[in-house]
Amino acid sequence: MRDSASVTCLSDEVLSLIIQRLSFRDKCSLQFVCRAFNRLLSCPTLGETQLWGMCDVLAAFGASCTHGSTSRWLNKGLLGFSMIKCDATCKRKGVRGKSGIISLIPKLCGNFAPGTKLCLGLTPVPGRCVCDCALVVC
Amino acid sequence: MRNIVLRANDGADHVISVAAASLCKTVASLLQDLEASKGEDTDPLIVPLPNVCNCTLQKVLGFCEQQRAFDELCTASPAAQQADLTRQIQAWQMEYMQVSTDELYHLVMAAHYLNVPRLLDLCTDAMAERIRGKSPAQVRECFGLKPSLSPEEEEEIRRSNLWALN
Repeated sequence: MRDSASVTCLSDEVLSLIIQRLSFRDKCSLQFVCRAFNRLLSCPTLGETQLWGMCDVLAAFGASCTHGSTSRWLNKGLLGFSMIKCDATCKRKGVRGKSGIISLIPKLCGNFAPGTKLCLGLTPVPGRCVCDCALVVC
Repeated sequence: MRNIVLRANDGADHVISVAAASLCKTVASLLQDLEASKGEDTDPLIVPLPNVCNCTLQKVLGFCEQQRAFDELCTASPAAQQADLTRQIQAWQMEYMQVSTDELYHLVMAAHYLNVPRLLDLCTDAMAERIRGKSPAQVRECFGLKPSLSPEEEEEIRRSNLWALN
């Protein structure tokens, strides 16, 4: 005989393994499911685990990598949105897209080792499209 | 070769091969410690597993034994048969993961505790598969969860994610 289990019985490590297998849309949706998932997805870092990856940011723009893989860019220490075709999505999302992406930056930056140089191509400059902006976050 | 006995938390014993036990990294590491401390003793090595119940342990061991058999087949088979073998393994794994949500919870916890990477991959894949494309309410229904966030908290998440949710 065993006790019945639930998501709350699973360790953060296991939950993060599940989350990592999901798409950006599923991760967004998962935030509303329960506290366990919401807590993890609100947390910028979980050890070495990357819950919200760069691909998620790209997906938020409705964009995808056009030059090689995200990991290769990260290995080079550079990820620039100038490589991403996201003009149409920026126009569609407007200011909300900009502020939303900016709110995600702290989460993302927390996922990388100190000293990693990331060119996120974003800065909160009023009246400018995020695609045109550039910001190196260290 | 010495026998290895894995003892579930309800006292049930399971004799397994060293080869299958090696797939459980937690057990493999316990065995190393026990071997070192007991020397050449011929008594069976008993490994108590206080966090795993009998039925879950049976299921995990079934996986380890079968994966071991597949590994041996893969090594022995010519390259031309590898694709067929891969299909067989995938079919077996699909059948193996036909479990209830409660069983899946216990299985993923056991795979994590016993440190069986291949089983953990399979279980987390299966859990992710049950989440994919579902609304929060559907996910809750699938996993038997009650809403734990207040309407105010949900609104806050919605507000901060407006850019992504539209």
